[in-house]
Amino acid sequence: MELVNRTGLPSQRRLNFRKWFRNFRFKTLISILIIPGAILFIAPFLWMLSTSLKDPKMVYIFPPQIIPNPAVWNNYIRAMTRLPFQDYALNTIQITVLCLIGHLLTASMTAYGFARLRFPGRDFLFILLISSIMLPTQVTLIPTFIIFRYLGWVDTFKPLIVPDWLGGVPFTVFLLRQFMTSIPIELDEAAKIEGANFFDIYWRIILPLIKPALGAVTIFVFLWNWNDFYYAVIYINSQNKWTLQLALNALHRSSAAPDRSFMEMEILMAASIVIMLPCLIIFFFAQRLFIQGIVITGVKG
Amino acid sequence: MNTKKLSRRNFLRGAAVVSGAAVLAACAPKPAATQAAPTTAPTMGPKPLTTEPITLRMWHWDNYMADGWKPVNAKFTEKYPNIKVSIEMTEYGEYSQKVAAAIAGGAVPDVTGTVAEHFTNMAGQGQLTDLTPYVDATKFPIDDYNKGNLSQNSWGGLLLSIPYTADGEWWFYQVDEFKKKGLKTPYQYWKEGNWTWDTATMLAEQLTSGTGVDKVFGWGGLGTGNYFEMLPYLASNGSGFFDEKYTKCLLSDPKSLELYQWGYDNRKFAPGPEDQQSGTPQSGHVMQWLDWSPYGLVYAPQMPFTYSYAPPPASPTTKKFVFCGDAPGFGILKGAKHPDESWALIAWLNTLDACETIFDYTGQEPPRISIATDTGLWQRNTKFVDSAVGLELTKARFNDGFYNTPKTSNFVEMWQAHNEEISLAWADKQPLKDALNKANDRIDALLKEATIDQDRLYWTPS
Amino acid sequence: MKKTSGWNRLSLTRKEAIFGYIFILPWLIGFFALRLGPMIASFFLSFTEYAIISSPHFIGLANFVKMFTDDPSFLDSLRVTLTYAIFAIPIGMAISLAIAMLLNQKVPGVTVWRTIYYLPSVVSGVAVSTLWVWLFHSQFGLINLALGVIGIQGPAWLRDPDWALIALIIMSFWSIGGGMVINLAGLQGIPTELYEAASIDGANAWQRFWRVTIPMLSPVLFFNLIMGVIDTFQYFTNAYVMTNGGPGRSTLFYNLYLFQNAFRYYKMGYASALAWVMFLIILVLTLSIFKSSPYWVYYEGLRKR
Repeated sequence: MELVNRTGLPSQRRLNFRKWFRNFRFKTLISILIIPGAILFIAPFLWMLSTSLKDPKMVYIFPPQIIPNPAVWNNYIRAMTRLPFQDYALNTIQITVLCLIGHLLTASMTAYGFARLRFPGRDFLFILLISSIMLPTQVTLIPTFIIFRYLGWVDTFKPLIVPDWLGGVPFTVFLLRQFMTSIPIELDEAAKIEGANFFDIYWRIILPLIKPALGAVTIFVFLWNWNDFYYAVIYINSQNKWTLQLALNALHRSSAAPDRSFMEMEILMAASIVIMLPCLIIFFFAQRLFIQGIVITGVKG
Repeated sequence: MNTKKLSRRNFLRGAAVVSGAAVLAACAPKPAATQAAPTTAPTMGPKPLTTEPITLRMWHWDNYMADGWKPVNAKFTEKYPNIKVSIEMTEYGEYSQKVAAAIAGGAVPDVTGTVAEHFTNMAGQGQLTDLTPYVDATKFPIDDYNKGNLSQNSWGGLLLSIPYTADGEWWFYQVDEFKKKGLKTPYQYWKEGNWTWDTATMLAEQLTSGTGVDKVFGWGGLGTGNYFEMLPYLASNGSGFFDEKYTKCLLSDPKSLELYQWGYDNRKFAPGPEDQQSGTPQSGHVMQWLDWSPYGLVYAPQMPFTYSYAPPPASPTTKKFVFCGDAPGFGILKGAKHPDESWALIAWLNTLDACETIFDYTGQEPPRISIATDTGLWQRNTKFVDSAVGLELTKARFNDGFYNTPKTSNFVEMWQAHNEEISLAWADKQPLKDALNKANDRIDALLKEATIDQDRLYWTPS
Repeated sequence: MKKTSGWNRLSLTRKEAIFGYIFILPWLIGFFALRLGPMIASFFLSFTEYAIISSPHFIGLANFVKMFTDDPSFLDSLRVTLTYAIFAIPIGMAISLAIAMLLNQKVPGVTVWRTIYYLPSVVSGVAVSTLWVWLFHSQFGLINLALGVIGIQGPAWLRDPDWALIALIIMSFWSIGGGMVINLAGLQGIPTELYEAASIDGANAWQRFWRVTIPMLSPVLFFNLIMGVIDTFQYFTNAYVMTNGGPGRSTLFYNLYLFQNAFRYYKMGYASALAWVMFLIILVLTLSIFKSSPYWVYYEGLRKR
């Protein structure tokens, strides 16, 4: 569209107005399509919040009470004391933090090895790495379980943490490696001239330059571990070692026994919100990093 | 030198080594812990317990029962200050899985709750310690226990767990509604000898009213819930789940069909899957329903209405009352680290004082006949609603007989197969006869792969 | 005078190679010990009967024979998983593309809307399962309440064998935010000149969509499709927490059935067999998608035919 002369002839101005109006109509149309969808998407969160604050007697009534009045904040206390959630939070945090450190370290090390170092078999091993991205976990599940059992690690956190210290996940290694290859090799060379060895280059040059990718990986690893249920349910047995996901599952099942389908919804919703909260908080603080992370994986993948 | 490419040979060698190691690990004997633990008690007198500080892990599936055990365990710790007890709950549906995972992982709990299919799972795989030596050594009052309950806790002639209660399922009903409509109550029908399936559903019809979320249901319905309900009804009608020799499943027997037909024909008076909330007893919308006897106490604070009980109705053909056979107990898994101390706790739970405390907190009838049929015990429990009737029913249960869970190692899968077929029939997706026949065939197939403990299914005093 | 140590006498290439192996050592150990090794081991296990508390014993092809001839649960789990894939993946991709296109316009507050659509995909796990169990409650869940407002009597959702899987499919549409953002980035990468050129050639909006947007987005769509297939076979938490495979077997996802065999019924040999069958199915599916890609996936504007 050509630039319109604002001080043009009256007919020109009419043309401008029609263009603006069409634009406006178009944008309104789009908004009309976006807004109901957005309402649909946010409604579950609001409903969850609403239920969590309701008096138990007001949960199963018709017509439903949309805004709880009074807001029963005590539900959250009841939810958190029904089971020792503080212990489970500590367990989950412990696992997540240890996984994060190990994952970032070993995945970036591996990525650096493949990106910058030459060694016999590198290309072959890299192909193995990439093809293992698509390896479904079930194929390795049972023997892995047997190995951990033989080591006496079942019912400990080790099976959940140790894999993250052994190269993390092929996906993140691949991602980081792609990032690293986009860093100009001249930086490496310059550092080598100044006497840096490979480890220095890795630690002081490469890592700082791939911060966005590391940030994205951090977020992925955090979410994966915080929300993991599958491995937790397989490897953890003792109640004192439960993670938050296992605790919520227990809470859910204990209030919904098969022949007693009476569920204390307000407590379940309160507990669910508390468990979701760290993910939401981190998201809000690192929004851009999040979106960047998704974009990186999708576009480069 | 050849550093060009990692040679294929070396690579394959490495892979072979690791995979070989993995397979060897699989074939390796169980971790040391499982083998080192003693599996039998000493033969001469009670052994002194350890003096080291230990914590016994007690595993169970029903949250509210912890209320009764906590004070009892506290008294146990008072007596043995170095032994603490920690109760861990796993929801019923996940219980076997959790136990199996613990066994597989080599870290079993000390005192393990057992019941029905969870018992047959553990016992059928030989995972429980024989308790007979402990019983003999400590002169445990085993004769005060009903033989049928003990059978439910035995396998291959060995006593593998001690019952901690002998509860059963009762027919609960809302008293006021019957009065309002001028109907005789189930209890009255029972007393005058007319309490049958037909009476129950006749009452259900009269009590059903309304639609939608306001609908009131005359009864709780029958079908795919609980085999504790179905099996006794089958026995009442002269059928059963298996024949007494465990040669075949009897679901496709015409007498079995009569039972299912009864449930099927009267679905309209019962809540369906769409009545998720109003179909629960707590909602107050269900006028009669089958439930576990301890709930006579548990429901008291929850229900805004008065309720009472009768036995589950008898078959109209035979007029025979059969209760469900369920005597959950506690056993000691092989590989438990402190079997002697675990036994001490189990024995403690069965003392008179402990039984009464547990009964007071949770309404669980004591497993010992002498205690459970003691009038004073029931009278002293002021929390148990209509305890006089409760006592009558407890006595009736021992007299009229009950039907135990079949002792097949894969009963879980059998009941799963049953539910899958029957739920389709209930949803009108297949005819009832077909459902029963299909379930029957699948269960027969499972029977062939099962380990079975040949024992009576139907227990009467005789 | 310093004696040259053994290390210093190595050539630079040798040193680099050693460093290389050191850096990838954690991954190398993990790869052999936790991926390749177990993969091979589970292959052998699939020919055994193994109850973990006893030793495995060889039974030849019995597991596979049983799977395909005598196991209705296996066939049902395949049916359930494939049904889910056929509906959830294409519809989910369509929805996420549609929303991405809407959000690609310069509408006021687009960052707010983008956040709202993306937010649900940030949370997952048991908390989300629990929330949707409540949403699908047959009498007081938000969905049936809303349907009731417009006069429709909602089904019993998770307790109706006909509707339970549909409920899970609907639930999956809530989490399309991740795919949406990728699509958005892809859309923003399409040069506007292409659209202009198409308009000049007389293409209408619909044709512009199919001739410009879709081809330019095809690598992204390709990626989403493959990940969708793999993720569907990994589907577990919702099926376990919300329905446990029921009612009946209407939500018995493959991964759940595998889990039940391994950790509930103690049939580890059979579960290994199931895992390998699953692997082969995924392989076949992804290879087909790869094979078909020259026909519809365009890389940097070049048609690979």
